[in-house]
Amino acid sequence: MPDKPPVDHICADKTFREIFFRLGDRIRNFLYYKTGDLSQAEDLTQEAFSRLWENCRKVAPDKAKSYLFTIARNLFLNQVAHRKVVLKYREQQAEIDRNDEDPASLLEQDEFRQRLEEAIQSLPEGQRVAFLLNRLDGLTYPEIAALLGISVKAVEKRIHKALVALRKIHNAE
Amino acid sequence: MEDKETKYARWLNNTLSPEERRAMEATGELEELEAIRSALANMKAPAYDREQAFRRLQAARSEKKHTPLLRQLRPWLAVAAGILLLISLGYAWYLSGATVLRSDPGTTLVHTFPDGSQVELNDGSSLCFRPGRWSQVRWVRLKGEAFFSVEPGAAFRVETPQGDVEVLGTEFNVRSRAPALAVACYSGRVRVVSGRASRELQPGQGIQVRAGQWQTVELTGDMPAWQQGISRFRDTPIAEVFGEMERQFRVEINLREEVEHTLRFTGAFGHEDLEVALRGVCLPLGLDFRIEGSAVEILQN
Repeated sequence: MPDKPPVDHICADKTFREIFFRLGDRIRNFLYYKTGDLSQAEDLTQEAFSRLWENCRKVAPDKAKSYLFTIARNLFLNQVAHRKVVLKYREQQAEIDRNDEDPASLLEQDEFRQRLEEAIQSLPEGQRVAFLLNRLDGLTYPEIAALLGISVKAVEKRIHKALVALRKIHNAE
Repeated sequence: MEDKETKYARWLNNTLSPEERRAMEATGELEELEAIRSALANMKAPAYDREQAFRRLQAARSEKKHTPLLRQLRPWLAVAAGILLLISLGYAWYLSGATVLRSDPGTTLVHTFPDGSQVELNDGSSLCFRPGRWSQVRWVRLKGEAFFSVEPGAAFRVETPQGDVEVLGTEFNVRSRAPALAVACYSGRVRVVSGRASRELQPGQGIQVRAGQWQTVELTGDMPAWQQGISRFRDTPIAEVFGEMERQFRVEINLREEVEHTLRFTGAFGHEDLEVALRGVCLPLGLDFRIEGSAVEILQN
């Protein structure tokens, strides 16, 4: 009988579950920012975790994250025809904000948000992914750099460019 | 670190130099960027149902039957495999040497048992028995219709879904076409058991059991009609009559809605010509028919 896997081995159900619950939505969001297609992002997430499971003996638990992102990136590349990017972001705390504001500024705010969403949608994919991983998922630049397999400097450039593009919505009024 | 290409990124994570920051404040850039930052603070990606996604993942995983999973399940698998093995061994022993005879629709089949008893299977019927143990147990399981000619000896037993038939040496016909069981005794004695009730048949007697109702029938001739290429019926629901016709002629017969399903038929049809057979059944019942290929439609005249 070959060597028994250690307790924290990814092949152990408990460990695999823990990894999924820790990284599942991160992978899903990453793919969502890339594709703009929620169901495709979730399918690819499933696929990425299936691959991790298939290779659970070869991947150390602390390498699971970068392994998953690599798989996710490759899976995305394999999707030849991906749809036009359409992003919709759920708003947090929208109700709370609204109570103590006058209608005029509310309307303005809505318009601003809509323009912002559209601007995010039309960002180049690389910029959008880096920017949203930082803003919506709270990843640091070095983390994003590691996940995307690029330098921290490159991440900073992408985020800078994204903000340059987004700032233009102020002048479009 | 002064780099125009990363300026906003460094503003975003608060690593701008004081000079850069002052310069940006002066141009009004900062205010605009701040508005973007605070708007994004209220946004997030659509919720992800991780529980559901994980269940889906597990379902896909168990399909792949990965070895590590097998390893975890090994003790249980061993138990399950053991039980399964016992069951299949028992079943194999039970069935050992079992023979199944099958007659295709439209054909009959004759078989002689080791003791010389004979069976003729009517079309679309099947018979299961164990020739290896024939000297101890004369037991067959029948689906469909068959004529038995049994040599004297130990009890001869015919099991059908609707009831059982037990005999000593005799000749008899068993017709087990759901929902009815019909047995005809041509010589010797036959006991028919269905549910809790049982009846004994003398030569020349027949019996029909349908939904717990027993009905005796006088036999005509000394062999079943189907052996002569005829199907004979007595006060039989038309669904059963057309069912027999479907088997004999290998057609599909559909009753139109307007046709009364409670109609009963007494009479016979030959197995030579579908149109003749249809006419023989339909005319007395006031029905009409249409043949299209292998499909027949029965309608009210």
